[in-house]
Amino acid sequence: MHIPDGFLCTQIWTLMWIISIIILAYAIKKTNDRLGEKKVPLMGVLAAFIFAGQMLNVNLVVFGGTSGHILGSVLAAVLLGPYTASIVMACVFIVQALVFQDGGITALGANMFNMGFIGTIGGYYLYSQLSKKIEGRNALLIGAAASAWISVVLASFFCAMEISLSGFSPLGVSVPLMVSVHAFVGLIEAALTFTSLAYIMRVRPDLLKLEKI
Amino acid sequence: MGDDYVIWGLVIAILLSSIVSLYASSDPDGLEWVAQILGERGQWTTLESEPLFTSPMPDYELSLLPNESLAASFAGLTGVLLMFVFVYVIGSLLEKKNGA
Repeated sequence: MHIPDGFLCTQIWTLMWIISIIILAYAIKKTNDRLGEKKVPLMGVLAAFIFAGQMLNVNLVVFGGTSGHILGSVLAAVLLGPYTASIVMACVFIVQALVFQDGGITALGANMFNMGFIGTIGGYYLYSQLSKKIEGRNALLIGAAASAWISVVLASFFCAMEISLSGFSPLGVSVPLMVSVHAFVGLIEAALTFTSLAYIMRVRPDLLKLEKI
Repeated sequence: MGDDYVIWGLVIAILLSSIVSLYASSDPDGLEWVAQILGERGQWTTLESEPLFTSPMPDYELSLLPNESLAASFAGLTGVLLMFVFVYVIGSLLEKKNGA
């Protein structure tokens, strides 16, 4: 879902850049001088893992000839907290755009917002609400998996809106199509988030208990 | 650092990005697919723009290398290490300063 250059009009990509810079500045303010020493290597490993995971496109059997990959934003937020995870996701999209030409430079603000901050901030909020409401020891996993699915669907909704508001595709056509494809892509996200957290819970439960910022 | 999982995590990430990635689907992703389908129906336009600049490894391949798989594996390996170092440095800058 990386938006390339040329998919957004100047007003929209400028607006998305401004929104993302504000979120990122706030995230830096929140985390500055507060990260514990155990969190820094975890941030690095998660960034590496999410970068690798985003290279692995899986064929979607439902729609012939299309594929999807994970985002990792909710996974990062559950482990690190919303603001730390936002910084990690922003770094992933910066490297992808600058070094690998995946996602446009003008669209970088939009990509950070859609595929990053929706999951790290919105998804984290939803996760914390859901896992409080669910009973039992799997509350964390179920809450995280559900938020992961929703974050992908929401990301596709925003992505289609931005392109349509740029005047490049009728809203009534692009939004339903993008959202229905990503309802399936989101299942991959939910599965990855669930299994990664279940595995970490079993082998390194301490990593789930770091302070969430 | 000094924690096992960091090494293991990196090893797994490198295996995923430089080996498993060779078997990843090369079909268009959801957005590209929608753009293609709607483009054929005349319901999707894009600005024709020259890329603003050329990245060193577009499409996750270092085209200097002679073999396509090697080029992709090298890009995956570089990406993972670069990601780790970049975020580690940013994280260190935000770390709690002791005492001071």
